[in-house]
Amino acid sequence: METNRPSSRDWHPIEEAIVEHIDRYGLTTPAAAHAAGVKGMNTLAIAEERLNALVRRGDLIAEPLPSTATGFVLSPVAQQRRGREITDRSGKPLSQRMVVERFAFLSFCCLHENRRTKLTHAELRERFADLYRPGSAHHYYVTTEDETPRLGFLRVDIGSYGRWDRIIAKVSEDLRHHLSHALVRTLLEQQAFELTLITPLPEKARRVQEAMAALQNVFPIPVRSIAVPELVNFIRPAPD
Amino acid sequence: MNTNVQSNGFGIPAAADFQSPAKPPQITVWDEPGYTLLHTLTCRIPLLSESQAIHVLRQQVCSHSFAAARLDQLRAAGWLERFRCLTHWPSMPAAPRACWNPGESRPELARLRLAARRAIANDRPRNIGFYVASRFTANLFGMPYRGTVNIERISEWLAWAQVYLHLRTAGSHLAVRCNCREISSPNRAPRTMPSYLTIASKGAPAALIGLLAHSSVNGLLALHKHCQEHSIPYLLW
Repeated sequence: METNRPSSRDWHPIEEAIVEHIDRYGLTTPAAAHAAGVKGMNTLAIAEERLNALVRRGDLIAEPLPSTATGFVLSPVAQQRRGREITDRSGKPLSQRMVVERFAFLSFCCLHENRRTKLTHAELRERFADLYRPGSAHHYYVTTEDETPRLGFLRVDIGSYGRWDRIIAKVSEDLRHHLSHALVRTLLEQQAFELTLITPLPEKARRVQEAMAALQNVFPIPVRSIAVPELVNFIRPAPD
Repeated sequence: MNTNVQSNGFGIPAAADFQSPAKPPQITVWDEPGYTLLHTLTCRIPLLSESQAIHVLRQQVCSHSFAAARLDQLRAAGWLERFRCLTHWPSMPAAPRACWNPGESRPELARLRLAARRAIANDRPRNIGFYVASRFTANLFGMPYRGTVNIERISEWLAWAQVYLHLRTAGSHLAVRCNCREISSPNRAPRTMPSYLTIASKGAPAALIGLLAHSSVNGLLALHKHCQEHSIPYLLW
């Protein structure tokens, strides 16, 4: 991780757009910023150049990722300028779990065929206040892949040492929790709510999909399970 | 091990749309042989002896020393676990002892089972090292962990591995469609049906493979009844 002198000048609209994009997802890569159509990121090379320029100016921190790509996160100074509260954790390297979750969300929203947009805290509070919980990370996105825009909840499975089907219990709990909200029930009537699980390998994604299909009568919420194989590179079991 | 299973009257059409899954290109932490081994040990069969695991790796065009080193690396990195125990090495015939297709009469299951069990009883137990996918790997592939198996079942599970390797070596399209979901894991409640390998076709079982020596007569009868009711062919080794 590298930091440089803090930025003190105003952001150019292109820089503003980049910083807004990273603030939304908590992390970006040149490929994601380019694919998401962030202002000024016309090619992969330009995206890489602009992100590195912001690192040199102290607005971003480069975070090495297990793949060949480099991740970029906001520096504490840039976070402060975006109105974020600075804590002891600000500027420290992200935990493995945080990196995986943020990369998974970024990949799901920006690098997949169907584009989604993660909601910021402010957007969630403003548009779906019942689901907003102050101070905690949220995993809501909006998708317009069908005619009706849908609100979605994303859960990321990074594996564990427990039984594989514990993730079914977690997803069931997510569904139960959301069904307890009148807002979600109303959205469901309009077919405007869904839940997505991201898991590294397609084999597990298929099994989860099968198991959740069997629970469709209990939990009338559309659930889909998507594999993001790149996540395997981020996670490591502890050697015995 | 050069028997072509298709030539044994086992009527399953080759699925043109099905191929052995290749490593997703985005994964850089495993190479192709490593991925194949982990996939085999999670989705196809519960365990492999050291020699069987090296056999699988060597089929991915690599030398014996490379295969042995790769096994060590996968274990050291926490993707595999290694155990050792005293057990019977399964002596498998060169071809299945029985093949059944819908519409045919029931094979003499009790007699065939007795013959299979006699073949095993003649062998002396050996000290065998074997590998299973680690808890973490099993979870990642969405399969149960197989490292807490009762030691008495190791011989049976080695037999599954022998059958699987036989199918692979024969170049059979059946091997790439095997899955071991119906091989009992320690947490599963006892049931009438014996353990079996499923040969999948477009999401549905197209055939089952059972082990004569490791199934009860009642279990084999239940398997036959199940296959008869659902018109699914089966192979018994």
